[in-house]
Amino acid sequence: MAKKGTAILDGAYEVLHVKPGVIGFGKSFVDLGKLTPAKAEELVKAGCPYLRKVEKKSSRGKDKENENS
Amino acid sequence: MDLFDFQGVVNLEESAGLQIEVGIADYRDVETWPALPDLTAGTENADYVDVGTEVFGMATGTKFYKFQGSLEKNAFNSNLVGPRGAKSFENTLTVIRNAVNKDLTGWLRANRNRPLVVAFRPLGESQWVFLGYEGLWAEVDEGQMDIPGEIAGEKMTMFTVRSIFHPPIYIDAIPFTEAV
Repeated sequence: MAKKGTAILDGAYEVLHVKPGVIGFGKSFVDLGKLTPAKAEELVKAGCPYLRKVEKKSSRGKDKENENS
Repeated sequence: MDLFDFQGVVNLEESAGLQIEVGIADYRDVETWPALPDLTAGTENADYVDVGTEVFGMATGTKFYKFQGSLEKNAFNSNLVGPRGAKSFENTLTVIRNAVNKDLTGWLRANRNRPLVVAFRPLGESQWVFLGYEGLWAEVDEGQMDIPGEIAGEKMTMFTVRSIFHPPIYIDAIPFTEAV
């Protein structure tokens, strides 16, 4: 149940369901408030349900503009 | 529910024992529950007990709390009980901390009658196993504090948490931070 996301890492990722903090995931604990971009990417690829990568709307918009031109 | 082969995958990290951290939440703080596996849609045995990336929908400001046991003390036991044709699961998690103090005493006082959901991880595993589900919470079954007289005795606070009917359910993640 996604209530709302909290943007982290300059809006590149969103923490879902909880405040950016500790969750138990994988073989250890992860602090979602202290992620590096590399760790965030690793978690997303591992299927972490509390983290989502934000699609970059601006680049999509540019792509659409290019398609339309 | 279909029947599938079990071919004993070799896990070189297989080991007894549980990790020392146990996740404990108040049953009443869970607003929405991970959807239990559909018994008609499984394609392998694990599908009947693995909820994967499902999450506990916790009430705002609530979370799972950590309880740290002692090394090689926490233990898990699940039994199939009941008469032929009506077998059911009876699950027991034992948590032991080699200490007796006011924090542990207070924990027992505050939680001995509380409906709970508990989660633990077998050593070397990446998924959590949880006990307690909607309508069938887990609860403290036994508790004990012991300070032996001899210096080599096992000073400890222990409690067992028991759940019934559902098997132990596997889930990818447990939230130890307040829900928003």
